[in-house]
Amino acid sequence: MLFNSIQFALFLPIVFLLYWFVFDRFISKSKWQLRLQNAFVVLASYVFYGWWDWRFLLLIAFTSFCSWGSGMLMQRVENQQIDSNLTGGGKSLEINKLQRHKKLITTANIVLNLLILAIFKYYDFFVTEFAQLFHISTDGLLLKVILPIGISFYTFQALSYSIDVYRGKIEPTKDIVAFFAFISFFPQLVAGPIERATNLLPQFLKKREFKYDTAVDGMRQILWGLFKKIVVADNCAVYVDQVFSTYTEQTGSTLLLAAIFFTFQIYGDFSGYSDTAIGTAKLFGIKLMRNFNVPYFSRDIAEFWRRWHISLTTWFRDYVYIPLGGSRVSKAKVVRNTFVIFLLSGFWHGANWTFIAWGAYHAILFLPLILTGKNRKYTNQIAEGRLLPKLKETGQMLLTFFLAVFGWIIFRAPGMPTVLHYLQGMCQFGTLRASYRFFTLPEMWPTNLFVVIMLVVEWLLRRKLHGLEISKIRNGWLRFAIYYAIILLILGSWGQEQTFIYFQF
Amino acid sequence: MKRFIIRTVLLIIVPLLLGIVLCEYYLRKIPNDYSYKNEWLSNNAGSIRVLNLGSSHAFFGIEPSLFSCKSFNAAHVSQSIKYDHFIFSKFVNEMDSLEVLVLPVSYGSFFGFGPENGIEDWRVKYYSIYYGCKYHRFEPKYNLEVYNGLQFDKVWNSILCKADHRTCNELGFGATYKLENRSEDWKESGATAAKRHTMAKIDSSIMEKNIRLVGEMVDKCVEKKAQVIILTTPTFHTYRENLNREQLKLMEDCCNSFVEQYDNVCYLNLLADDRFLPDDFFDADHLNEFGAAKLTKILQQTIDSLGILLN
Repeated sequence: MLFNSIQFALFLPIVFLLYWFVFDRFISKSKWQLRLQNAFVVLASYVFYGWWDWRFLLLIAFTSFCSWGSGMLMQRVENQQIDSNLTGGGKSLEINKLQRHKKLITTANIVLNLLILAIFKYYDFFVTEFAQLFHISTDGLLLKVILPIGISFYTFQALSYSIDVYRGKIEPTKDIVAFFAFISFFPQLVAGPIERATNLLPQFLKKREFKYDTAVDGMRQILWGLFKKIVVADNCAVYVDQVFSTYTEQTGSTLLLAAIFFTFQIYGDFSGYSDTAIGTAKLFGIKLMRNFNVPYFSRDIAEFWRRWHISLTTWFRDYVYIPLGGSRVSKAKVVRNTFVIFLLSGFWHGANWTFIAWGAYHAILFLPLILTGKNRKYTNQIAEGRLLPKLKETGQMLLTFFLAVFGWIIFRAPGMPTVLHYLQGMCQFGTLRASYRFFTLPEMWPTNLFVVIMLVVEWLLRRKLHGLEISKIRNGWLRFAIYYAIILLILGSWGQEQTFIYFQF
Repeated sequence: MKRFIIRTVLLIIVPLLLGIVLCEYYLRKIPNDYSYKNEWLSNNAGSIRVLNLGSSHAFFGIEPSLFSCKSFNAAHVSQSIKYDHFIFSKFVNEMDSLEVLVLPVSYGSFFGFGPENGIEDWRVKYYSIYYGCKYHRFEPKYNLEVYNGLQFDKVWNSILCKADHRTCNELGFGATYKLENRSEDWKESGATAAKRHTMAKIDSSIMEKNIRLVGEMVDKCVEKKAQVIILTTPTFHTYRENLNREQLKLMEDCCNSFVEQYDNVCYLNLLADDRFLPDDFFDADHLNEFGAAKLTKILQQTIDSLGILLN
């Protein structure tokens, strides 16, 4: 089910009403209330996911069960450890053995989850590449399975639980229903934010409370998310698709403009999804982590990565980069660690050399900053306390933006040859007339305007959590005028529902 | 929570639904080919003597005003056998004068089952909304004009009574494919169109369903003592040369089997007819107004040669 579909427009109010009125209010005296409400979350989430393909529900259930089971096994080992401490007065050999057991359980769960991910997402890619390298036929070797939507997202979420339990950051939960709700919670199931057990799981273990202000803010965030997706991203997509599918016939400047439009499209698409997800979760009394923080207003690429797809970046930071030593190791190892996380981050997006190249490109941009210790130079918000940025900041922002634009060309292209041809085409600048004509077509004006609206609003509200955090506007009429204007823009742009780019990951 | 729900319902949902309902109303008010043909058939079915069904090949290829008797073109772009069958079944009992049913069958007709789930599936809703078709009764996608967006410009024009989306003439002929509008690279369209109409894999169950539907239409014509002309419209060589021989033979065999099975069926295969010259085409698989006049004349001659009394 897509957030921008009629089905979801009907699904959400039904689930909302049942969640608060049936499973919260009418059975509030029952000791089963919380568990039933969580079971309802699981059911609703499975309906949401099953709308696309119910067969893959078994995969989510299996992933959830394995991670929950690994937590339970670790709990048992932990209890044995405590017993052994109590009875034996700290037999270190026994404790080491139990510690090894815990490690083994966590490793087994990680391997199992990654194996599932590898089979569905990467197996065919590796077999094809291997066969090409050794000139072997792939007949009968390829699985040709459909990629289950959101598999990378929920797998990483499940892994984070297992690792956090092993590290002792979170207590393993016995409540299987709450755990299943944590993995499958429908707003963020298929495209994140990739939640941490330390943040989301405890929220399923205690009673949620409805708060008017949070719910209203959630509605606003949903509206802003849909604006970014339907009005900005989907309108940009029309022209981006047109240019990318005929890139050999386009002039250099048209190719550059299409790449810029794709930069806004992917931001509108993915951050729009995240905003809608976070807003929807708020309606259910759940707080999800922030996934985007105005990334195109970054002053260098390190700042960009602190603001883009935050849940994935921090995941790799906490579970890969820091365990490898982070930046507190020799320079050679810092280079290695930086490449490892960026290449993994690229590969996480899909089995294609373009994603790996995209990761490598960002690693190359990031390295000088981390090696010179400037990677945390900009941790505050740009133009703090000012309306407009300084000239230097504007230059830094534009440079970072265009570095991102080139990265998105690699990301968007179906294969590396296309990337090379596209970049080659961009170098042949030639006449600007064709691209001027193309992008000043009357039907292009609304798209240009929508992008400007998004940028201006996000600039003005860059310190807020989302672009429609307008509770400080006291005039109700003005607030509602803004809501209706956005609703009209959404409805006016709404055509055949377009899927989200990040669903494929 | 009550405050939240009441405010959301009253200030957001109700105005929103009201707006959507109004947009749907005004979008439905805009005349189009589907509403026009349904209305025409509802009022005049009894007087039709030659009924033409089919897809764009017939919509732009058969000009009913050139027949010597009352005829109507009930073809629509991308209309499949399923929807031919639907339109025919809806009006057949009122067609007391029906003498000839022209049933165009194209290269891909037997192997697909409606525009659903393809790039043309947005057309399905027109059968539901304007013809009252109930094949997809509970799917919003196939029942609402607003499903493809509120289209404020169209709504506004509809309010001002300025909108008219009809592309057919008064007898249902699609008169917009003219020689003067033909694109320069019209010949090149043949390969892509042939590829689009060629099935990656032929699904025998779909083929059987289509054959059954054609059979039902023929049976009804037997009952009404009407003749059926199965027609394959002319195509340009750039289209023909890119067809899959196996699929083409299967299509022709199906058509011929109806001729063998029924006395009231004849098959007019004009796929490679050399009477159609390059200037009769709009693109590689559609005729223009001159080609349509030529095709209609050939149909008239066929009807005459069959000895059907059309006065």
